[in-house]
Amino acid sequence: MINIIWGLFIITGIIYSLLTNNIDIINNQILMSGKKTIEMVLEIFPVMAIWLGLMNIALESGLLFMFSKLISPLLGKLFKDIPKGHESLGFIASNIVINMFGLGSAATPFGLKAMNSLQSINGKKDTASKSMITFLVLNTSGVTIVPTMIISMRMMYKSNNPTEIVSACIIATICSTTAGLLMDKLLQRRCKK
Amino acid sequence: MVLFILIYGFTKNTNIYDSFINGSKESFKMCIQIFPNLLAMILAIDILINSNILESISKFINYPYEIISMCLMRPISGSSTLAILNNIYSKYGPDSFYGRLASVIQGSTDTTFYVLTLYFGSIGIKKIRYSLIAGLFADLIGIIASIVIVNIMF
Repeated sequence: MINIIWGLFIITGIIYSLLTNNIDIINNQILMSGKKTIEMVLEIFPVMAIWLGLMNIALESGLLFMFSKLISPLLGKLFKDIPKGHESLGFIASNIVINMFGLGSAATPFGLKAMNSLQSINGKKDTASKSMITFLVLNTSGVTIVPTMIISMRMMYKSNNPTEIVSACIIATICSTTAGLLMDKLLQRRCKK
Repeated sequence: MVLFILIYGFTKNTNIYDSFINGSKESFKMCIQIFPNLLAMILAIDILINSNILESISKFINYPYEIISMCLMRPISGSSTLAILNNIYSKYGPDSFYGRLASVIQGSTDTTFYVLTLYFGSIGIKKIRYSLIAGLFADLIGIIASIVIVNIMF
């Protein structure tokens, strides 16, 4: 799947720019991508180092475990093949909670940790497990309740009421998350057959 | 939250300094693991964006170019969507219809491709099965819901 999309992106991009005669820009862009990636990694790296450090404290002090117990009844229903009390549930829980407050970049380290610990209970190491996909869908549908980033940007542009979009965001999020999870369950069943 | 974690660690008698160092160490390993995946994705996306194909599509469907490109870019790249959002706010204003619509779209969807590459790349998953379809479907519903809801509410 990812093979096809990756190839498709590059091929359509190059063909289209050949047709419209701006292949020079593309040439430039190819060289720039490496630099952009390094910048991106450098941006994530310090955030990740700090949060992973803090998370380790939370993990070793048992805070994560307590936290995951709180919302595990709900998560347990979504992630049926994770054993009860497994550490990955704690990471998933914190990832989701941080995402709810719209702090996407702070949530990433937890997401990576969660994936890592899901991998440790995954049977086939090169194939995504059911829980991994469910977790991914939860993440990509954006479970935002307080979109911190958007509100601050609206303030920046002097909106009369920066928070007026919050309720609309919540409703839209509920729609997209439910749709994503339903699709996930549907495809899950189909794949079994 | 930082304070809370630290205080909790103290009360439970955890070695918080050592614990912090050990956790941070892992970030090196993770960054190196995600780099090639991220590079591949950024390369492909950059080529696509710079070919101007998106502009032609928006002319074709006759909706503001910014909203279209935002919907198309949203699953792919967080930073470029934020840049587009910035454009929309300064061009139409945050309280305009398009301003609100863009805000809600931004709030109810996420960067599916980016998260997928990052998360699966970091643990070496190659067969992603149906995850992309489910993720993109959630984004699509999010965008449709945003359009409907903004039309009703404002």
